[in-house]
Amino acid sequence: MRIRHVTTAAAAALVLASGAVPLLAQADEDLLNDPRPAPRWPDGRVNFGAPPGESGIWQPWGRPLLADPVGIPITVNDRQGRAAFSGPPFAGKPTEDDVPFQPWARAMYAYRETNLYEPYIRCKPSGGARLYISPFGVEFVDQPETQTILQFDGNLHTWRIIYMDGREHPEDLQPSYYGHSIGHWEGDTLVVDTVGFNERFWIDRQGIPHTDRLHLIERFTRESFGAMKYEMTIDDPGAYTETWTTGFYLRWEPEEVLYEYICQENNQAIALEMDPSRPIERVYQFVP
Amino acid sequence: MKPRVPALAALLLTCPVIAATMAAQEGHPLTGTWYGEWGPEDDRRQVTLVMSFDGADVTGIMDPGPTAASVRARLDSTEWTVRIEAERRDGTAAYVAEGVVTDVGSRNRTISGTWQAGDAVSSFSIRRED
Repeated sequence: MRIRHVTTAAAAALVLASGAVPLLAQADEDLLNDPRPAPRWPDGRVNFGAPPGESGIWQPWGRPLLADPVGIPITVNDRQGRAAFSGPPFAGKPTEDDVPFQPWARAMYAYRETNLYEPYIRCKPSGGARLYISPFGVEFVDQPETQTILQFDGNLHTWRIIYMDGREHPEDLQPSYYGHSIGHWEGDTLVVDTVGFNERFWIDRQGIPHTDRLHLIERFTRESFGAMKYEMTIDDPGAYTETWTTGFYLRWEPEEVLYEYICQENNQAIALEMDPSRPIERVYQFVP
Repeated sequence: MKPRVPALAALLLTCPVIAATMAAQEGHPLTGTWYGEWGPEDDRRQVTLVMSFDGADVTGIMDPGPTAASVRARLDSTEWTVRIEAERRDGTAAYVAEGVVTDVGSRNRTISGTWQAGDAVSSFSIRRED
């Protein structure tokens, strides 16, 4: 299992380093068109995990973007100079120009394009879509006995709770990284409504801004055994002039499990994420 | 002599707690608590600004306490320039500060520029702490 991880990571690193143009490989096509249906629980609900006796986790399909860069072919490189391979196309994904940014949010997004000071890189939890844009994977744990669905994050070993018992959001929420999530089923689609986010993370790795007024609606649909469609509607009047919708695909990594990974140990990504021409002063030794 | 070990232990235990309360802020660039000073070189005055963004306006308070001032601010994100207007609630003083945000992606971003109090114009610099 570990060898498989290392091999996958090495391959990804090589691709990123070389700037190669990975098209949707045959293996990805096969996964997307996997003839096996999504597994189901005895009560008929879709199982977002592995069937009994098997294992697997969800990983981002390529390097998902919430908005396609303008003027740069998405299959070549994004503006941040890193190879972007975004898996299967997501119908209706907006371009950067289509996103209804408020002026400050658009400027902040542009700033982040060259100043990648992302909290995720500093081992901070990251809610929204960023939870699923991590090479360490996510596992869904459906617990009908407690009417919750847990999402375990392989990056920080944190988890997100989705309440499925019909409760409402609390009146007074302490803002948090994952917010307060309530879910329900619409057919085979898990719909999750979340509020109560703090402003201490990015909701993706592209730098799409948000505020603590963010109201996120996510729709998870396991379209086949190997493919999960992830759709998110961003309702954040603090950063956008209107709601907008985007999404991407997750791919099933069979036989894989979440493994012990400690982000804080020997984390050298901070230097990689900084533009050397625009250093940001660090006063404190701890991770802000 | 008082034992030093418990005091040291208390200090060590307190530091991470203090550190944990300071975190990144990735929302609107003006949101947060800012500390700094303004005034002529021989009479610098400390100032605290607490600002928040409601999706349309940036408002807040300057120098929380009995002499607090109400604050309105405007950000021009094309140049990251800021205009801050403050007025003491008892009407005794009003201020206009104009400056530029530096290191806008940092939780410790700063704003520096000119500070006008009545007819007097001086410099100011504030730094976001949390």
